[in-house]
Amino acid sequence: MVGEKKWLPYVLLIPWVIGFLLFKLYPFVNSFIMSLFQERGRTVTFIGFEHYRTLFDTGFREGREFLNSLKVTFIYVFITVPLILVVSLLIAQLLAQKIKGVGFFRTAFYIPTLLGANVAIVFLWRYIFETEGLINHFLALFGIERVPFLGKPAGAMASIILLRVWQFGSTMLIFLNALKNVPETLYEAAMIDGANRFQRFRHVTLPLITPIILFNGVMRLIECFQAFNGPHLITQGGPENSTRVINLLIYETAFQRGNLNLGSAMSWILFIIIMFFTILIFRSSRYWVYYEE
Amino acid sequence: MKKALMFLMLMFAGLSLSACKKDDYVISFYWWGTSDRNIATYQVINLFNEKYPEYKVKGSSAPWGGYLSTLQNRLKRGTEEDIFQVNYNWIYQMYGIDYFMDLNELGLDFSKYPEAEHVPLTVKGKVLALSASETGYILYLNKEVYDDAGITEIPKTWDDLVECGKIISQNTPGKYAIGRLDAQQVAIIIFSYLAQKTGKNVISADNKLNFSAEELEDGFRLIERLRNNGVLIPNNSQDTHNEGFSNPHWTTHQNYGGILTWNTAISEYENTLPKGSELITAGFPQLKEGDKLGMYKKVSMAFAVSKRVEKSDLKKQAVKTFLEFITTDSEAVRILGVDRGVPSHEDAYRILESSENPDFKQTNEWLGHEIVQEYYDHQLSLGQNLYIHPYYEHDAFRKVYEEPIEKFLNGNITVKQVVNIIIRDFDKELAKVME
Repeated sequence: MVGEKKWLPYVLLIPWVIGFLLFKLYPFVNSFIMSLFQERGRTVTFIGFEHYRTLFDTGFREGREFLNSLKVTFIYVFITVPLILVVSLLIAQLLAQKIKGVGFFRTAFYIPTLLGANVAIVFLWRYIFETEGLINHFLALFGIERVPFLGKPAGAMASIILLRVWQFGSTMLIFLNALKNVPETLYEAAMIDGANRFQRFRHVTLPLITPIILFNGVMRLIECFQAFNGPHLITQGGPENSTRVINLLIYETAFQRGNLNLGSAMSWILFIIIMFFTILIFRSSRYWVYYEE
Repeated sequence: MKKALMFLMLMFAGLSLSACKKDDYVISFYWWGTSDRNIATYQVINLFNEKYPEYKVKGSSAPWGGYLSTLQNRLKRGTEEDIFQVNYNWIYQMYGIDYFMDLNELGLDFSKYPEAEHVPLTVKGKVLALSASETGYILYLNKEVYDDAGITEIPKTWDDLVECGKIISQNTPGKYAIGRLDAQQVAIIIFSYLAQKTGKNVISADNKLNFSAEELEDGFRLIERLRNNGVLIPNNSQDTHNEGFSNPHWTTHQNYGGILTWNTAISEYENTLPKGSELITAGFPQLKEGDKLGMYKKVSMAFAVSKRVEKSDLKKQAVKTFLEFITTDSEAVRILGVDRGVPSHEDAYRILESSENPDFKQTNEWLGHEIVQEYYDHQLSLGQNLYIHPYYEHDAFRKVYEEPIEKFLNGNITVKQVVNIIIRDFDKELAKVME
């Protein structure tokens, strides 16, 4: 019976394959081709890797913009990803305890993830960080001078990082599941050996959840390199380009300035960067990820 | 022989029929606008569809945000609407010569459009868009802020404005004669002030920055003076609202006493003020009273037509009929009023001008428009042409002056530094976008 329907899995895969070819592979390949051309109206010229060269040349305005965005993106990613991992692991550790109302807390901590960086949340976020916002009202109660968080590069960056870290729900849930899968017997053995709470976490919990740390780390890294909503809606890349992450620059270049070719080149560089870090993390995982065999 | 003739006749008939597809009597129209403009435009479309049952217009409105990118993508894919609203500079930025139809082919009468509006929309002899209205930068004042400070005279000069700033900050602390302006608005102040002093347009006829470093420094010193005397806020990083019309200091607190904006955009600022508030059209501050200088203007918005329309005679006729209708039909003109600014077409302008309806002539758009025209005509009589250069607002180019000005307004660079950056990049980047 099974042998008679060998073709069935392939038929069932067809919708996915069509979707993949049309909406993933075709744009992927086409964007690379586009990055090798320059369109001016209907005049299309092959220029090879000229766009790529321009993007790394500070003699060009596009180069300065791109390198600044690269720097901004690295700052954003390498602060945000560790913060998300630490915060979500910490909260997951707390929620893994047998405490009353744990279901409520899990839901409460997950809600920000459901809300995402939508317009309402952005307004809320702006209201929190504005010069006349919630934090400054609070500071004013203690006679502290108002801080223009969104008006200063560091403050603006901090606000978009916090917005992303605040949405730690998915990462936390995955950690929570991993924590629950750590065998109780290992903790008991460690306790018999006299390990305190921190030592149990350091030498039992952490090694056993390293595969999940790897997974969460890679996923969040990819997401953060592709950040768009927060910077676009809260700071619009400002002040003074201090939050203009690469994806925002790609959007502006391709769709606002109409330079799809240069935007495609930027996308490919972003892709290569993400791929480089993903491979790097996977390669390094053999030294720090513990796979229970 | 007869058969051959019959065949040829049938072939030509088939060809001419194939030139008009079945649904070519239907045309699509795409524009951006506020709710007032959208309602009025849909009313005009309904009116057209009633008056001209042989055609059908399908309208679709969009908010300003995202309109440009949507239109650009549609143009590249060839899925744009038959008629679409464009900004004046887009005919250059979007390579309109490749994508927009030459309106000469429609046989429209352009004689009733002011030459100053028709010429910038004509590239290499091709009319790429039809002007809907013109616009210029005007200072509008919130009467309540000035009344509260005890000021009864509208400031006419930069010195007056500085005096108002001093009085307002002294009598009503926390309030400003204007308030917060962004880099684009500050750029216009500087370039207008320098035009008043030198008579020069910011971009020369040979597409170069027309001001020297010393002149630019002078312009930035004016901004410093305005910031130090209660006209502008001292540092923009203290107020991070990007949209001036939704800024609570403008809308609810009313700490900001004025706004400098295109006269066609003033309704956005007007609509967000509490009911009962009054805006005064204050012209543009001058070096000395009585001058009428430093007025830059441009086509505010225009109608362009897809190149695709060229292929069908029926569609061309439908587009022509609709464009004539929306720009000249007396009923349509009255419905639209000044929702697309004061109309460019002479007949439409006369219809509104002769109307008893105060909704038109008493609007701040109209009052601002009159000042723009008066100043501009005066400048022309002196041989000064301050028409906005078609690439001045190009999305890639404008960063050349807006980014350093933003840094300056945030207090991160000095006058000398901002001037050096602008001088360094201006000509090079302008040449690049104009390639």
